[in-house]
Amino acid sequence: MLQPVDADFTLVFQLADSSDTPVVPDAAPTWRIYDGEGGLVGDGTATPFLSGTIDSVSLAATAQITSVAHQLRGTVRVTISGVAGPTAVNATTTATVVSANAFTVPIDTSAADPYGGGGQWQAAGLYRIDIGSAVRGQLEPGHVYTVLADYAVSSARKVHQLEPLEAT
Amino acid sequence: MRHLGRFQLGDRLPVVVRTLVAGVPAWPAAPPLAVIYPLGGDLLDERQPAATLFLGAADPSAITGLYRRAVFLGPTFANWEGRYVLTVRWADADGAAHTRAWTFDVVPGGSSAGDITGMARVIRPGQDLLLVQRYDESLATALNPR
Repeated sequence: MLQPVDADFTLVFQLADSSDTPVVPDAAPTWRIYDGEGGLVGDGTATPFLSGTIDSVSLAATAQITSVAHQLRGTVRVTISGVAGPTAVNATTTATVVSANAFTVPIDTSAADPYGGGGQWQAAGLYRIDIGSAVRGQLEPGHVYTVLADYAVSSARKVHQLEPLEAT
Repeated sequence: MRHLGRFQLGDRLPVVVRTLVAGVPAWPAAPPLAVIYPLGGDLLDERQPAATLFLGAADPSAITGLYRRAVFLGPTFANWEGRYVLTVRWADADGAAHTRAWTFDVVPGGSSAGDITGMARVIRPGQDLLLVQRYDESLATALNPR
């Protein structure tokens, strides 16, 4: 992948199984960039590519979650955390968009405590690596770099290799 | 995640996906939805898709779960010449969500109207340009992305 290095840039990667089901790691993946001789050029922690905050959760057989201007589309596997009250929605589940500000999840909250605030969602398995000047300044045009993401699933360590990065 | 390559405004981006369940091709509950996000750093709201469109089944009588579409890189891509993230999402018959993702680049020199009829590289001292001719015979220049 050709990558101009005269400005900050972002890489995105997906963790998924052989059926394209997004994989949720135990913690945010860490990344490393190596030059052609195996020297470490930079490292850091990846962040979710798509995420948002939760404004309310309904009490219903199929919980409806309000997240203003969530910008999700279609059916998305999401990880929800930090919700107080109907805590059963703090899980990785399938979100189905019903409007620009709401989506449903197949979780029964009808007998749960009322929404008590808080909560975030993130699209499962999609992460971004933001390359700033500190690392970018070490990338030489014409050279090819290897980018690896380390993560663990149920404590089993895995490595995901991104497309080779050819600096231009 | 694969990088699909470099395209210009006016090109068609080929999107092909095979929907799988447990590694076996299967029809999804509804046609897969392609959502394309600009990856523009601080310049854009990256959660605002540049395009959202359904894929169509290719040869459904013979091939299970094969979908494709040629996405025209038109005006909605004209705001950002850079990297995009293409996601294709579908739900299987059990309601489980699946996603595939790719990246691609939109580089200078195209036209969101798809009306480029000719292109040539022009090298001048300190400049490396593309000279393009449109259908109406007007000329324009763009930095050569190389």
